[in-house]
Amino acid sequence: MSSEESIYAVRDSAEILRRTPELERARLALMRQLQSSLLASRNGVLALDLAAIGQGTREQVELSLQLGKNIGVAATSAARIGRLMGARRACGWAALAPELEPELEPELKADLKRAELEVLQALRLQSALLARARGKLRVLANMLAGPSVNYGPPWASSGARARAFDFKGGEI
Amino acid sequence: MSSLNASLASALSGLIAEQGALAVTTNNVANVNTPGYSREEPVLTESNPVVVDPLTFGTGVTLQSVESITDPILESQIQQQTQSQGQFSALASALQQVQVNFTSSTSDIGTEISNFFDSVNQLSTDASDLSLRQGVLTAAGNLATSFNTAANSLTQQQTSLDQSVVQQVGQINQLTAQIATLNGQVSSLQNVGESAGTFVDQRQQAIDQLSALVDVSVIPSDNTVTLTTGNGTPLVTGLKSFLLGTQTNASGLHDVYSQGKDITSQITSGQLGGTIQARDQEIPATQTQLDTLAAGLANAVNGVQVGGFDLNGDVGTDLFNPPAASGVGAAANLSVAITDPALIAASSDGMPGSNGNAEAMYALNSQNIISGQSPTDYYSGIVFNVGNNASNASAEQSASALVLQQLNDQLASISGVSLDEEAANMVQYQDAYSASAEVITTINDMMYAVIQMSTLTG
Repeated sequence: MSSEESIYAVRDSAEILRRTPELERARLALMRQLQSSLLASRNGVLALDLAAIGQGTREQVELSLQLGKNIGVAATSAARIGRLMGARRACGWAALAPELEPELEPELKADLKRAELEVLQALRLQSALLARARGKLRVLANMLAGPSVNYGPPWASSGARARAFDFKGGEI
Repeated sequence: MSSLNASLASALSGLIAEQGALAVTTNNVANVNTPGYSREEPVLTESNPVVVDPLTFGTGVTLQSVESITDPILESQIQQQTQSQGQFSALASALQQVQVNFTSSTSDIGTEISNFFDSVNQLSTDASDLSLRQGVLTAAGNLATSFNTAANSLTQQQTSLDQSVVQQVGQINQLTAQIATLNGQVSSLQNVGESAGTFVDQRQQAIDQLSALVDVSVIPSDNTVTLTTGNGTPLVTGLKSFLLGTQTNASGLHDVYSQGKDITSQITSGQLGGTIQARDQEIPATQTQLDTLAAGLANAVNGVQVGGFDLNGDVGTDLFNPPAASGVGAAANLSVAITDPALIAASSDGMPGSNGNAEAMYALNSQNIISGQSPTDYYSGIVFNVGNNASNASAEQSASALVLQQLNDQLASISGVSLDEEAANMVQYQDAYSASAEVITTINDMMYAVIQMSTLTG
């Protein structure tokens, strides 16, 4: 079990609270990886390199799933903190015991915020580029289509490949 | 058998053709840094042969034409992306200005909503305190002002975009007239077999500029191009350009007309498309949301106010002047209806110190009174929508810029001048010219020999 996975496996509230900074650092690392991956696959999208687009997208889906897992644990942790704080307040105690206080460095907080915005912007750009690439591929598919080939997008909605990519030699 | 004179003519045609080819290369080199210039290539063809039975002799070479090297598919894609970039550039610019109205500050609507409810909360601690009552009136006034400022700013931005529409239509008309003139120049040269590369490049540049302004479809025809908007409205046909016009509509904004027909809603791309989208869709949508918030908030506060009693024990009256039933203009016209702090209906039972109604008014802060949301949440939604739309437009603009850059690079590799290639061509043409000159020298020697022979025999 990797270090990151071990964080996700923790079920104890106090342990989660203590390890919140670790969780946040893991999230920052994931976001930076996602950002790098988006940047790296941008040239593939521009060049309509289908292999590179596929590889980049797989990588980004995997990173997004990991991020989702991380955020899910963080949300659970936040909910537990909330419940704990409520319970302690009801007893007239301080919101959190000092040993449970999650310690997030201001730099880490700022880095997380910046990374979130950068990833969001990179995702918007990637989405816009992919939409353009899809349009261009559709044009190419129609240009390549021979008389016996149905015109249409390169991939049918069912996920099956369109006929334009199944042409045989001499069909064009 | 071919005569020496015929050979001389062949060699001469070589000199002329290579000289022409060299001139093309020279022009390419001279325009290596000229934006929009497409490199040219000489098209050399064999001259018609002569038949001297039973043999056929060549008669040299002809510089048939000079061709510009372009890629129509790439040019079409560039136009498409230029339109897209123009549209999103205009839209992003407009939305970024709209976004400024919703940036967090000490006097933005969100802050003023919080301040207003905070002042009501404070009043509930001592409902008979006149200074706290005055605080509520001041906060209500500031809230109304923040709505007025944001709504007026949106209207000003809409007016400014409307002026841009008129300017852009003027620019479109200038360009279409220029393209029609260039069509004529290209046509007149190409009809007599001359190269019109320079005018074709100028026309292409004008079409690219036009594409940045409006969605353009380019249909090549005999030596000219026909231009229409995306929905088929003619812009240029041959030597004739069709002017677009503007007319003020009922809202005081300008609609775009072509030959008497309103085509405003059909312009979807280019700067004009982006400007119209921001003016007619994005800003009005934000205005409507602001009106909904202002009207909902004013009506809810008024509803609580008239259900309570003021400091004098009288039934409360509206705190805000009631907005129109439709809500239109609510944000721009929101204002406080009372000036006397004693008229704030903090009491729910008519007793001067009672604070039941003030608490009810404070509770509105967390109640879903605006389209199923609390005032703060609804306002956050507006801020999110505006920011999200601006960021999306900005990302689309960046994507178009990246694709456009790549397409321009591709086109430059086809149409751009390569100095290495031109240097090689120059050597090639120079060698061919020297060879032809050598042939002429040889023929000259042969003619001299023939003349000498005739002198000796004469």
